[in-house]
Amino acid sequence: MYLIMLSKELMAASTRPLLLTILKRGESYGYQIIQDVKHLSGGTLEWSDGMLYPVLHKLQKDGCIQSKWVVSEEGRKRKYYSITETGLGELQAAKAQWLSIHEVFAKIWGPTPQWAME
Amino acid sequence: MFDLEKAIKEWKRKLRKNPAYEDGDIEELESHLRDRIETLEAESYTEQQAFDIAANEVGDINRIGTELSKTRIKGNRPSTHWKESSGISSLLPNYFKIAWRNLILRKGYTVINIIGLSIGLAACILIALYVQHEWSYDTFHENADRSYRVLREFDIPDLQTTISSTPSALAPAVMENLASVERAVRIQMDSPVVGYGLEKFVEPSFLIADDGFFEIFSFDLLEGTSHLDRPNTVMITQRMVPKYFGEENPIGKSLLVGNREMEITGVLTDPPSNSHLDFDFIASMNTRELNWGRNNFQTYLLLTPEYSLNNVIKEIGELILSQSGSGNQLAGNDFIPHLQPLTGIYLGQGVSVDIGSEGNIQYLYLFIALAVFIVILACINFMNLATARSMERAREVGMRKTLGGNRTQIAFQFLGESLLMAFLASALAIILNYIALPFLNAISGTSIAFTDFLTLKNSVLLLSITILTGLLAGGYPAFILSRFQPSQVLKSVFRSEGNSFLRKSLVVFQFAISITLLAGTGIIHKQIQFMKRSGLGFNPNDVLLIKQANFLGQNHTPFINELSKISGVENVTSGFSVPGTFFINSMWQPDTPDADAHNLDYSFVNFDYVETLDLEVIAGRSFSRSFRSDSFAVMLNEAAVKDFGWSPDEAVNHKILRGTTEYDIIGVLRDFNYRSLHAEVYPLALFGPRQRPRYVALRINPEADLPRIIEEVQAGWKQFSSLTLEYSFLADDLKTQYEAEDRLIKVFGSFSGLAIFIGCLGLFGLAAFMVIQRTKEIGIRKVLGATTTQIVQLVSTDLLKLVAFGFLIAIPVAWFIMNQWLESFAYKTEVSWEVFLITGLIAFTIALITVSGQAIRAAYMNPVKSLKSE
Repeated sequence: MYLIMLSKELMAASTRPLLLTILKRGESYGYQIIQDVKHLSGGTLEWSDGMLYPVLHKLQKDGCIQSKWVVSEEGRKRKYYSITETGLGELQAAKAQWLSIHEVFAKIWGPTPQWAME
Repeated sequence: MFDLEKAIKEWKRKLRKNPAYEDGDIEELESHLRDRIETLEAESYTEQQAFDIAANEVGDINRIGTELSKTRIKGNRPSTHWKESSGISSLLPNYFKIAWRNLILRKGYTVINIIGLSIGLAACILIALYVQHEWSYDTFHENADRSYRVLREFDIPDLQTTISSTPSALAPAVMENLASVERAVRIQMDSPVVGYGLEKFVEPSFLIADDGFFEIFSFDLLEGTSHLDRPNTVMITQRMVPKYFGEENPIGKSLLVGNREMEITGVLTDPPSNSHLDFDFIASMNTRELNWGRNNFQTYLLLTPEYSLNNVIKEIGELILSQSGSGNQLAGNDFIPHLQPLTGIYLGQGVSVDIGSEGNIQYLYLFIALAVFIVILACINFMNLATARSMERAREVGMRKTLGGNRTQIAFQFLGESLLMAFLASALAIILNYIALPFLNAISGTSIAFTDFLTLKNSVLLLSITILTGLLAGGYPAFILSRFQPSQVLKSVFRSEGNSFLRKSLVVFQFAISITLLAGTGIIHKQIQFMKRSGLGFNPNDVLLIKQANFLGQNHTPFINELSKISGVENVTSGFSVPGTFFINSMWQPDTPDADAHNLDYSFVNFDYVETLDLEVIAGRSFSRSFRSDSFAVMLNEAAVKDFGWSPDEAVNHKILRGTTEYDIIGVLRDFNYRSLHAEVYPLALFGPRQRPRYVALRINPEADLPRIIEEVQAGWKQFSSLTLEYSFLADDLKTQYEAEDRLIKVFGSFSGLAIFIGCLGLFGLAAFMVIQRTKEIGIRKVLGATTTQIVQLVSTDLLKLVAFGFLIAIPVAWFIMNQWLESFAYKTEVSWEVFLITGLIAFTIALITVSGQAIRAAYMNPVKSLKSE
């Protein structure tokens, strides 16, 4: 697999919409969210697992997501996050921004050649 | 060997060192770590490898910490805090666990507290059950909400009275003329001799009722028919069946009631104890007479569902007016009708001539107040002991706070403890209640079953009282203790001075209540003694009363003659009524022209009545055999004479009349209390000898040989009657007039005893606590030469001062309340200082015993030991 290390700035900018997208599909907890991120990005987005949490907490503080504690069947306490109306709004806006950037680059660089992805 | 738990613990400790991490954060990361380790283990890594990989993947914890702290504004706790977001509910079991451990740790204190509370709660439940019972009278009748009894109110100057007896013609007339009356039923009370075969009994609970009785009253029929439409039929209660018939089926059999054969048409279940009508027989009404002058009928009405009470009353009033035009004025039917709800009869006030049992709503309120007071006492006790312990627990609170417990958590901890204790106490209270219920039934004459308590309503009530008590009792300590500053309490400079004032005031308050109750008991006792001893206006002592004398018939005079021959019998008389029994009530006309009829109680009496009862004649003379006309003579009491507007001497020259029959007033009697000392003496007329008096009364020489006299009376009775002789002493019979007060004093006495007991439990706890606190001081004093007496004084004085304060507060309060209570008696004792003196002495002695036990223990402590401790 061809790995691209994203710059720190780009990571920071993309994480929020990414988390919101995941949570839009349904409530989830930290470990699960990270698994999803890894799975979706195919490893493109590499971060230490722990760094996810400050981002989640910031999202919550901004009112984009909310959380609740749930005790699982095996007795593990998990904090479940779910997206709020505010979060949906932010996701909408972020999506529009990213798509417009994507369009700009697509126009300039042309469609990504198939071989470049392999 | 790698220990995963230990490794995780170690890892968490590193996190905790970083102030950026808060409880919730660590929990969240731990949860993440464990999830990851599990996954890795499933991929067949060893525990150690899994842990290392997972910890590594989580990343640099300090960097995460820095990022985390960025998400917060300084000092503002995140809303995602584990404990807060989980809510109190998930921590509740934990609170109770800790609470339980605390209770076990302080056994003595716990026991005192739980006993105090449970006694308080048990008393409260008992009172609630009793009050519920008293309030539930006649609510079991299906149509109770539209059933009423007709009362007659007479509003004559100087004479306002309401009575429940109504004319026999009223019910039929109302039935016929009033559209909104669905059913009107007359009821009469009787006490005939009932016989079956050779068995004969006097039955005091014998009702005579119109057909339709069961449309108003929902007494359950076991067998037969619920109709009373045939003459000479009777229904009996279940409990009467074995008495007369053993195993036989009574339906269709005949009872001899008086001299009439009555066929049994039905068997009823026994009336419940919350029915104002208590009966064993219901006979059909034979009386077809419609008389507006015969008043000894109760009239009950069932109104149609869409009735208007005011209209019905108005219509009855008009009906009565229309009747009074028909030559019935003398019968005195210018009364104001009232409708009394069926469910209000038992607790109804101010009905002066009444049937059935009667409650007293004022006493119910008093009991409720008592219940509330006792619960308050128990709560105070609890709070007091808990705040007293605050010194001991201050350090615990300090530790908790230092370790991060916040105020809410600590408050919840204390509330949890007091709630747990309240629940234990209420469980114990239920057991106590089970034990005490038979005593309550015995005292109050009720038949409340323990199962009556097990209703949803009561359970909810008890639950709320328990929770409320727990919160109330624990609320104060929770509030105060959680406020402690950890730095202060841990440095050990802390003293609970602030609480000691409150604690002392609570003890004062507690004893003020207890002493008030005790003084109240004393005054009630005094009033009952007073009523029993004085103010009767006649002498009930040494008067033997023979009942059912009416069954002697023609043998009456020979029997009386026989009795007067017995040596030791000073006087013999007979009468339709004696004090404490039923007097007839009707309207009588004075002989002055155009004068209004007046309402009088009246009865018929034989010669020597005045002498036998020791009544005082203040004008004229008493009945005498030397005047043949005395069967048309009457004696009035002072109240009657005053009512007619005469002086006693004037009265002797007047007559009173009813229809065309005139009665000469031959004498005036000093007022005597033939009813009850609750009421002022009512106008009374005693008419001369008539047939069939119900009672024979004998005045016996107090020095005479009583058993011999009774044997001779029995022998005499046998000559003339086949019935068993029923006799009693007038003084004993009159006691029933004070039954309500007797019951009151028993209940009041028991509960004020309880209040004192609870108060002393608290005092005991405080004394014990104080001794512990002053162990060192006492030790030093002893070493420096203090005597045992001085130490006892030292410990007791402070607490006894509180009791004395309580006493000072109680005096005016009790004085005021008891004076109010005494107002309800026409003849009353005074609230005197002896009562308070005795009460004070009792309270003080009990308190002294309670405290001195602890004080003596303290005084005998070996100073070497007490000073060496710590």
